[in-house]
Amino acid sequence: MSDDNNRDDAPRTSHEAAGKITERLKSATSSSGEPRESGGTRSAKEIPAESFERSRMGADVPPKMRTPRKVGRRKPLTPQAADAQEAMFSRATDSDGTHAVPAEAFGIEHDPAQVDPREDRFAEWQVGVLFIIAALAVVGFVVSYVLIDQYASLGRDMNFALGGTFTVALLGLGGGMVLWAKKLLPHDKMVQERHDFFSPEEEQLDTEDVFIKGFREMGLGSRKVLRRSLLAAGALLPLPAVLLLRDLGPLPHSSLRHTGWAKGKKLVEVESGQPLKLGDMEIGSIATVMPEGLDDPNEHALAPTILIRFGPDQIRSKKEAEWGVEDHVAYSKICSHAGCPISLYEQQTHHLLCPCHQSTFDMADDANVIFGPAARRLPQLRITLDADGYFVAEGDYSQPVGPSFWERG
Amino acid sequence: MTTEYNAAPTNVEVAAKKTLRAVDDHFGSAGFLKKSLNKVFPDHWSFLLGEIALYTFVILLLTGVYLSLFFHASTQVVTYNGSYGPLRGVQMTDAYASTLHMSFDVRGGLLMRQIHHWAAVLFVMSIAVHMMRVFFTGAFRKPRAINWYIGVTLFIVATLEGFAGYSLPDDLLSGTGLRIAYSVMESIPVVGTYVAYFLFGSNYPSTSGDFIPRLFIIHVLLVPGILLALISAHMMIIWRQKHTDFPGPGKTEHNVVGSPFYPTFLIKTNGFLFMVFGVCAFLGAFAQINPVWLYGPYNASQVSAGSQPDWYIFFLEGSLRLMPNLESNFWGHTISWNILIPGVILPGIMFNLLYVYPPLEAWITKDRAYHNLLQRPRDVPVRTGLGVAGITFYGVLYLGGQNDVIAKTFDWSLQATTWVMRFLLIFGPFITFYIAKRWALGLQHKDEERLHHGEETGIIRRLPSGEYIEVHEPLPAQRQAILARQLGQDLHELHAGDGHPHANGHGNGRSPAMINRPVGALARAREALEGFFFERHDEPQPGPEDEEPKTLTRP
Amino acid sequence: MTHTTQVLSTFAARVASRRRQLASAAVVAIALGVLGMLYAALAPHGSAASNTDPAVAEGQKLFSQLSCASCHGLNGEGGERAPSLIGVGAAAVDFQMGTGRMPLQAHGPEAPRKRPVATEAEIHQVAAYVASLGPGPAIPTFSSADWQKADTAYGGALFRTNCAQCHNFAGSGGELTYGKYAPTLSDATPTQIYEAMITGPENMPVFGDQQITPDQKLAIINYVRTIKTQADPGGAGLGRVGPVTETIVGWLIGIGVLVVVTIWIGARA
Repeated sequence: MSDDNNRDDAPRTSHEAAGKITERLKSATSSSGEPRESGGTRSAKEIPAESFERSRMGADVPPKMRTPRKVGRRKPLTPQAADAQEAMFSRATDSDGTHAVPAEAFGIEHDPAQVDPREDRFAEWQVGVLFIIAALAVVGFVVSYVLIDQYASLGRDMNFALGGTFTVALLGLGGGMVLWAKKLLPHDKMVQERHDFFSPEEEQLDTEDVFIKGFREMGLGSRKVLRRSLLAAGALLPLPAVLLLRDLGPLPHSSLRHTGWAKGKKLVEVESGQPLKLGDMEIGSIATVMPEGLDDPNEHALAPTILIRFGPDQIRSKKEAEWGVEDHVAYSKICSHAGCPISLYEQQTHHLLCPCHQSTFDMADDANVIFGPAARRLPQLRITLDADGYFVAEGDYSQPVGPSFWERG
Repeated sequence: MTTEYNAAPTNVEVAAKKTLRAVDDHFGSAGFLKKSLNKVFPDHWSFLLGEIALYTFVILLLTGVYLSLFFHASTQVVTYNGSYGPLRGVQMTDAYASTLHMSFDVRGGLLMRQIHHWAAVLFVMSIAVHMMRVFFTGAFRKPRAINWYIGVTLFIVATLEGFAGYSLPDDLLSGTGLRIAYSVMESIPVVGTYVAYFLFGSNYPSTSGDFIPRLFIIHVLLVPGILLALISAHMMIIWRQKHTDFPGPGKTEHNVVGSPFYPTFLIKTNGFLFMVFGVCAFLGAFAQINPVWLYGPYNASQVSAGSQPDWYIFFLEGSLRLMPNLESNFWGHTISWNILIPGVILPGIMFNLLYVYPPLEAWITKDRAYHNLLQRPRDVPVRTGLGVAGITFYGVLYLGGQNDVIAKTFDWSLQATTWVMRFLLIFGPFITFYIAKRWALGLQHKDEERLHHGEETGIIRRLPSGEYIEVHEPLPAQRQAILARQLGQDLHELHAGDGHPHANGHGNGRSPAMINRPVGALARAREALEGFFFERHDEPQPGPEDEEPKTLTRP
Repeated sequence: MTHTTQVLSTFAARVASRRRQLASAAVVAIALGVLGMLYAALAPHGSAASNTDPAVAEGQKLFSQLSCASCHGLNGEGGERAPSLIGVGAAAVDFQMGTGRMPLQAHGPEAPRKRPVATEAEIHQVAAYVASLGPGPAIPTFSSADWQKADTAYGGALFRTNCAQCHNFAGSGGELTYGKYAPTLSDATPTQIYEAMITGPENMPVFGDQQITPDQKLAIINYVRTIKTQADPGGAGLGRVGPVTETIVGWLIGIGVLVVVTIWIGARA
C-alpha cells in the first residue's frame, strides 16, 4: 500500500479529518508521495492550497474547474477583493459555533458567477429574464381568461391557455429563484454544532423534581378515594360522545335480506322502463332488469337483476332450469364478492365476469364460481310468465343478495 | 461582489432594521430569530423529496379551497342542463352536477380540478419516495423514530384523504370504489354491518343522503386538520433535531454542514415550491385526469370495464383480486376471508410492520446510539434487502390491481396473469431480497477494494521483473476516513497493516468478546437475528465517532 | 327344324331381346322421370332470389375463392373448425368481413380486427349468399342523419347499462376471460356497431331489436360517435382508460421531473 507516508497524520476520526482540511489547504504537498500523472487523474478535491493564492483561472487548475464558456476577457479577483469577499461571507458566530467555510474546502466547484464580475452580471440577467417571462405569463393568463372562448373544444382551448400560462409563470418564478440561489448567493458552507439531544443531567433532575413534587401535591398517588373516583368519572366521560353517534344511521335489522323483488313484479328494463315478455330476448341475450315500480337502482341497490336467454339444452343445472322459464333465467347482478354489478356476459362460453376483481361465474351451471375471489354462487330469482306473457318474479330472492356479512347465515 | 459591502445601508435595510426592533420590543424575539435565520440545512438533493410532499400539500389546500366554493355536497337528484351535451337531461346527484358545472361552466374550474387531483397523486407518491429514502439511509434511527411514526401515519392518512376526495363527485368509477369499501366494512365480523350502516347513514348507497355530505366534511375539515397537525409536528421535530446528513468531508456526528436557512435555503426552497406548483400546473393543463363526464353519474346497476381506483389504492385492489375465494360459514354466521384478509388484515399487517421496523431493528442490532449521519444502502445489506422485499410485495399487489389492463395491453390471458401474480407475490420478495442483499454486499466489496488498494488509474506499468500491474492511486485521507466509517471498519487496523480488517472471516455476527451465552428463547432469537442482520461482518466495529456512550449512563 | 325355322326363331329371339332392352330402357327412363318430378316437387326451394339473384351467385363463388368454405363448409353448414352460417344473416357477414375479422388468419381466443380482404361490394355479395342459406338479420339501412338526430344523452345511459361493462366507459375496450377481450369502438362505423348489436359476434351478447329497439340502437351509436370525436378538454386523453395511465404519467412526468429538479437544486454527494 502506498499510504505509509501518511500514517502519522491520517485522521483517526472524521472529527480530526474535519480539522485537517484547513491545514491541508495550507500545505503545498499532495497527500501521497507517489508521482502523479498529469491531467485528469487528479480529482478536484485535491487542489493544493497554493492555487487559492494564485489566480483561480490559472493554467494549472485542472480542466474540471475551468469555466466551460468563454465570455470575453475575464478579470480575476485581486487578493484584496478576495479578502473582502471572505469578509462579506463571514457570519456572526453564535453559541452553536456556527462558522462559514469556503466551498472549495468541501471540494465543491464554484460557479463562475461567484468569481467573475461579468459572469455575475450574466447570471443576474439569466435570473431576471426568467422572472420577466413569469410576469409576462401572468399577463398572458389574464388575457386568455378574457379573450378565449371557454366553450371551444369543450373548454380545451381555455384549459391549455390558462394552464400553460400558469405553468410558465410558476416555473419561471421557481426556476429564477433556484438559479438566483445557485449562481448569485455565496456557496460557502456553514458548519454548525449539534447540541446533545438530551439535556444536562441537573436540568433533567430538576424537571423530574418539579413533576414529582406536583404529582405528590395533587395527591393522585396517595389519595385513593380521589384517584378512584376520578378514574371512574374520567372513564365514563367519553360515553356521551360515543352514544351521540348512535343515530348516524339505522340498524341493519333485516334490510340486507330484502331487495324489493316480490311475487308478481314484472321484470322491467332499466333506462327504458319497458317490461320484457317472452320473445323479446334472442338466444344469447342479456338484459338488466329491475322490479316494476322501483326504477332507481340507487334507491334499491340490491335489486338489479340480469335476465339471460339460453339456447335449447344449454342449461346444465336442473334447479336453474326449473327456476327459470323457457330457457330464460334471472340472477342477481350484485356480485357475491364485493358488490359490483356484474354483467360481462360471454355468450358462447356462458361465463359471467365481474370487472372489479375478475370473479367468473358459469351461468349454465347455476352461477358456479369458476375463477376469482368470489366464494358463493349468485342467487337466482325464480321467474315465470304472467297471463300476458311478461316475465314476472315469483317472490324475492331466497337468500341475501350481494357480499357476505357476519349475520348472513 | 456585486455590491460594495461597506456601503451605507439602503432604505429597505433601514426599514428592516426598524421592523426587527419593533418585533423584538414586543416578543423578545431577537435570539430566536438569529438562531432560526442562521440554522444550517444540509443540502443533498434527496433531502428535498419530503419537500415535494409538503408543497403538494400546500397546493392541495389552495386549490381545494377554490373547489369547495363550487362543489355541492348533496345527493339530491337533479336534472342536468349545463353545457356538456352528452349528459343534458340526465338525472344525477347534485354533487355530480356541480362537478360538471365546475368543469365546463366555470372558467379555470377544470384546471383547478385537475391541478388538485394531480397534486393529490403526487402528494402520496412523494411521501412514498421520501419514506423510501428515509428507510434506505437509516434516518429513522434514534432519535428520529417518533418522526418515522408520524410519517407513516401521514402516509396512511394521505391515502384515505385521497380516496375520500375522488369519491366526492359521485361518478361511476369512484362510486364503484365506494361500493367495494362498503363491502369491506360489511365483512368485518360482528360489527361489520353496523359500521357500514352508521358510516353511510343507511344501506348502500345511502338513500338517506347523508354519506356525501359526511365525506365532504371529512375531506375538507377533519382530515386536513389531522394532516396539518401531523405535518407541523413532523417539521418541528426536524427543526429541533436538525436534519441528518450523509458522511462527507468535514461532516461528523456532532455538526451539520450546509447552507444557512436565510437567505440560501429559504430562496431555494421557495423556488422549489414554485417549481412543484409549476409541474402540477403543467400536468393539470396538458394531461387529463379523472374525466368524470366520461364515467357518467353513479348508478348501482352499472359498471365499467377496467375499473381502477387511484394509484395509492392499487395495492388494496390487487390484494382483493389476487386473494383466493375463502369463506367460512358456521352457526348462522359468515366470515368472508376473501374480503377480510386482503381488505383489512393484510394492510393492517403491512402498516404495522412499517411502524415496528425502527424499534425492531434497534432491538436486533442492539444499537442505542444516536445517529445523525446517514448510511448508504450498501452499508446495511440486510435492511436494504428487506426494504426491497417490502417494495416488491407492495409492487406486486400494485400491479395486481391493474391485472385486467395489463392482460389486455400485452394480450395475455387474464387468468394466467392473475396466477403469475399470485406466484410472484409469495416468492418475489424472497428473490428480490436475495438479489438486493448480494448487490449491496458486492458494492461493499468494491468499496473495500478502493479503501485498501486505492482507485484504479488505468495506467499499466511494467515492473522490472516483467510483471504488468495497474497503478492504483490511494484515496485521499479524508475520504479514506469517511469510507472506512461507512464500511464499519477501523482505520487503525487498516493502517496497522494487519491485512484486511475482515480477516476474521465472514463471521456470523458472533462477537468474540461475548462471554455470556444468551439465555431464553427470546434472547437466542435476538442473537440469531443479529447475526443474520450483520452477516459478513463481525460485530459492528466501534466507529471513529463513537465517543458518546451507547446508552445513557446515569451516575 | 328347317333353315327357315332357324332363321325365324333367331329373328324372334332378337326382336324379343330388343324389346326387353327397350322395355328396360323405358322403365329406367320412366323411373328417372318420376323421381325427377318427385324431387322437383318435394326438395326444399331456396328463396326466389337464390334462383335468380346474380349477387348470390357471385357471392357463392367468392365464398369459395376467399376460402370461407374451407372452414365453414361448401354450403355454410359449419364443422369442427367453424360454426354454421345458416341463419346468421347478411348483417353478420357484413360485420365480420367488413371489420376484417373474417377470413380468420389464425385460431386464438378471439378474432381480431384487421384489414378487410374484400371490397364492400364483394362483401355484400357474400352476405347475400349467406343470407340465402337461411333467414337472419339483414344489413341495417340507416343514414347518418338518422343516428345524428338520436338522443345522445339517452344513448349514453343505455351505453353505460349495456355496453360499458365490457367496452369501458369511453368505448376503449376491456378484458374478458382467458385471453378474450371486448375491442375498442374507435374504429367501428355506425353500421358495424348496429350489426354487432343485432348479431352478437363471438362472445358478445345479442341485443335484438325487441330488447333494444332500433331507435335505442341509433341513440347508442350517436353517443359512441359523439364521444369518439369529442375533444378531451383536460388535455391528453391518456387512452381514456382511467387511473392506470394517469399513474404512469404521474410517476414518469410528475415524480421524474421533480426528482431531476431536486438534483438540480441540491448538492450531489
